[in-house]
Amino acid sequence: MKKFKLIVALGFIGILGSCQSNTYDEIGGYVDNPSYEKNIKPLFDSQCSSCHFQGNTTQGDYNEYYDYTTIRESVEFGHTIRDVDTTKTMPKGGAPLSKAKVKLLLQWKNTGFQP
Amino acid sequence: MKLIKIASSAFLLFAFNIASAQDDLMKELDSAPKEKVAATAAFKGLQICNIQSTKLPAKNDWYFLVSHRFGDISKGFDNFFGLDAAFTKFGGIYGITDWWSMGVSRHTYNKTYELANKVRVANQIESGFPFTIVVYNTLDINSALKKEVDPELKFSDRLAFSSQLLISRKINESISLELNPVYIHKNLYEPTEENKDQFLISGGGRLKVSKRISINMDYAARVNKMKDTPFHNPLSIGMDIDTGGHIFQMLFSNSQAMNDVAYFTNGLGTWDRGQKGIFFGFNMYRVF
Repeated sequence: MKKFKLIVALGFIGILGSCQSNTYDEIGGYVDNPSYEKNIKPLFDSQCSSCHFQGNTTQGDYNEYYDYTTIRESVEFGHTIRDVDTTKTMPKGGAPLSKAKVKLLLQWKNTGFQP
Repeated sequence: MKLIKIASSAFLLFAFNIASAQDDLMKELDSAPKEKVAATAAFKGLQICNIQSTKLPAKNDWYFLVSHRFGDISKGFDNFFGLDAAFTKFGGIYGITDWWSMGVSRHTYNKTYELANKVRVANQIESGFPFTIVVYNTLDINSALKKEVDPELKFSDRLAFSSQLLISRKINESISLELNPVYIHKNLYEPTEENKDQFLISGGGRLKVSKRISINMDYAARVNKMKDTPFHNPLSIGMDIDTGGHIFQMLFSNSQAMNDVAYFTNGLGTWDRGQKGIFFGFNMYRVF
């Protein structure tokens, strides 16, 4: 019985050895020239739009980020970078945004907000 | 006449012998239940505050559990002391045998599904083996990652693991202590802030203050943390209330996540004065 217990216990630790790790940079793929449609919109859709959708007034005065103009404004004037990187107050209810994604936002800004 | 005397004295001797033999037998019966008795209820809950205790569900017990960690209480009325930004854990645990249980839970943090496996290898015995030893493993599946956002994403990138050895000792009726070496492996990590393999020494304890209430505390120190990591070692202080039907645990912690991998290694709050990030929460278990 003792032996069986140990096998059950150790079996689960054994799984760990077979796993290889990646970084957030690696899974994001390097994007030289990010565009709104391909890179930025999916990011906002998955991380921000469950609260910051157009016309959301149910939970107080949310800033609404839902299209090229509103999202560009927020990235250009710094709210986005401040909240996801400096203060890490966004996104709510999840892990902070990865460094790779912050880099992506800055790269989008530096290359002139490709639509 | 002489013959009768010898016979009777021999009979008496014999009778006495039998009587004393019976005495021995009775003594043996009295001392017979020298069986091993396991020390019971080192911990009342399956968790101390957030780390696992060495308690396991009994065979065929179903546990239903709901836990919350509210937002940062130091923000005051701005988010009503954290009630606006709650994390929720929702799940079940089943006792396959008295020494083996498995559980599934869903966490708000990264939309994580956590599978848990708990095996007791040794029990503390009254005036015998001094510790209860339990092996605890979790497997996290991060379902918040999206292929549209991270094009190179593979399924294995969603996984993270923790392996823990829980060693506890019930010192007396009111004090129990626990020590856990912890190993955490992340398949996806941020190399500037954390290691993919992390080791921690974690510990916790329980102090019974009345029949139904105990004060609990747990802490974990990261052994190989990075120099400029934004994360802090998690410290939780809480209280067990035994309501009869279930154990209700209230606690304060500086790590808001409840899945072990993130609780141990991604705590953003701190107990330092004037800093942000203390989270109030509770664990609720119901047995079926």
